[in-house]
Amino acid sequence: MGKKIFIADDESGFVSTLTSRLEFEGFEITTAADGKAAMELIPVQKPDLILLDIMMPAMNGYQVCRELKGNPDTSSIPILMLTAKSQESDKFWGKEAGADAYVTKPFDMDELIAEMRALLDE
Amino acid sequence: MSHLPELIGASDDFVAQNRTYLAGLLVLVPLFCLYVLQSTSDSRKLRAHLIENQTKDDFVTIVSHELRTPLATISNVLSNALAGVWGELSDDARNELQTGHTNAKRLSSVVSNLLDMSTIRAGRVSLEKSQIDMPGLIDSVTRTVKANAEEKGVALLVSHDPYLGLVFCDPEKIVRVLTNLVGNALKFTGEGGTVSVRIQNGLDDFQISVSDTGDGIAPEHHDRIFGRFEQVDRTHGGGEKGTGLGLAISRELVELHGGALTLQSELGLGSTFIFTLPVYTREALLEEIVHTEFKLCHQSDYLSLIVFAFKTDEFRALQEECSVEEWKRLLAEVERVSRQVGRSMHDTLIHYGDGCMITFLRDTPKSGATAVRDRMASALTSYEERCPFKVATICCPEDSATPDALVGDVDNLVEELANG
Repeated sequence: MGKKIFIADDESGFVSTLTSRLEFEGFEITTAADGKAAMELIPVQKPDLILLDIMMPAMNGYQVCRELKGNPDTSSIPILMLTAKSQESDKFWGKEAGADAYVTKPFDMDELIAEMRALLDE
Repeated sequence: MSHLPELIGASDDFVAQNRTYLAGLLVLVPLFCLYVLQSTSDSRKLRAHLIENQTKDDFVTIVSHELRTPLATISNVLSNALAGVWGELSDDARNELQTGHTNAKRLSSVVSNLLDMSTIRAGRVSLEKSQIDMPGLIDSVTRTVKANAEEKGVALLVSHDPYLGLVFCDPEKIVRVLTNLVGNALKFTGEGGTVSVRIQNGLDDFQISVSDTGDGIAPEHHDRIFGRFEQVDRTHGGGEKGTGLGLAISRELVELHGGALTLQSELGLGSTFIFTLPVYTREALLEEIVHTEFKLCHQSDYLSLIVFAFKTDEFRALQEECSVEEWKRLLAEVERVSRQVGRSMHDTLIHYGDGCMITFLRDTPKSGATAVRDRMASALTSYEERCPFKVATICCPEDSATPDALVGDVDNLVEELANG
């Protein structure tokens, strides 16, 4: 069984292409289209890694990240912020919220997979 | 799950389907560029409109998000097809998809450069400086272009002064500058040529030069080459076109650091791009970091420092009896352990002269800092045998009333710990 990856992002086309590739690479994927749904599913599913967008409806990525890192049940799950925002202050806030890594869209898929494997200690 | 397999069909149909894709891309690429250029030229009007509508997000963020997300999707589709997600590809399909992927990447780079330029021009780029081992940083850049250099038959050489100090700069920005300069040098150097990167330690600044044995640049183009959207005709470029923004961005990023980017070149004799970064005295370094850390305190006006210092005489004796690599390794180990037992791996830590390190704890009053100091001292006990040391805290406002007072007091404390 592959490692469980949770993708929280509201851009369905983007999530679809990412899911296809990650499943092809042997990962098991679950997705949520907004922050609130992600907060309901993640504590139950306990994924091995979370790919988190910032600009999402209901709850933004910073809020989701802060809550997950503040909850002892989910704090150890690595979070990779995956977002189109790329300004200096955004990176700073991502790190302050507790994100383990930060990748800006558009990215090289091979580089993203390498970053994910590093966070998964593979 | 994706519906692309149905959309694309069996691999036999790939060529025809990809032509449609590529035709789409050919339309999209100029449209995106026109949109961005148009938006840039009309930026004042658009900005006024955004303010009028009380839009929270600013121009750059909106354009960034609206362009980057669809681009990420296009790149992913092409990358997935090339990785074989939807089955094996014929050679024709692979070649055409590869062309599409290369162009999507180029478009990403155009968008990134335009957005970066606009952010820099708006004065909104802040530097996240830390002490950097420059040869290590240069290695990380040359590693990424090594395969390309080998393929082109170009030799890649890196050299530096043996006793190079740590450079205080924003590593992400300097990697950007180096990647641009080394990338350009490789692009304009023919088979059998050489690209050399050299770092020299000056009195007031570090000089980093990137030289190539290409055809050189005519004197009349020397100033123009750093302008925005400038493309100067150079042979050996292999038809590769950039955005004409790389050198302009690099110069701005170097100048933000207080350095300069210049060119020395003669036709037929190759080119050398040289950039400088200022050398910081330890007092200037401490002053800048203390003020930056204060700005980053969000919840309070507390800033605590943990000062670690090896005893000066014993540390100098150790430096004499072992190799440079050995005592550098010892300092790196102390840094690693200090970070592990510290409050967060992201806390700022600086090397402050011989055998001394300072960790900065934002929003931390003296009581919190004392606990971290005790943890650190206990975790580092095993190093006492190699060289005796002391660890202490100094906090603002408890020990030093103001940031300026803190800077002076730290210097005295270091002296006391190392020699007392």
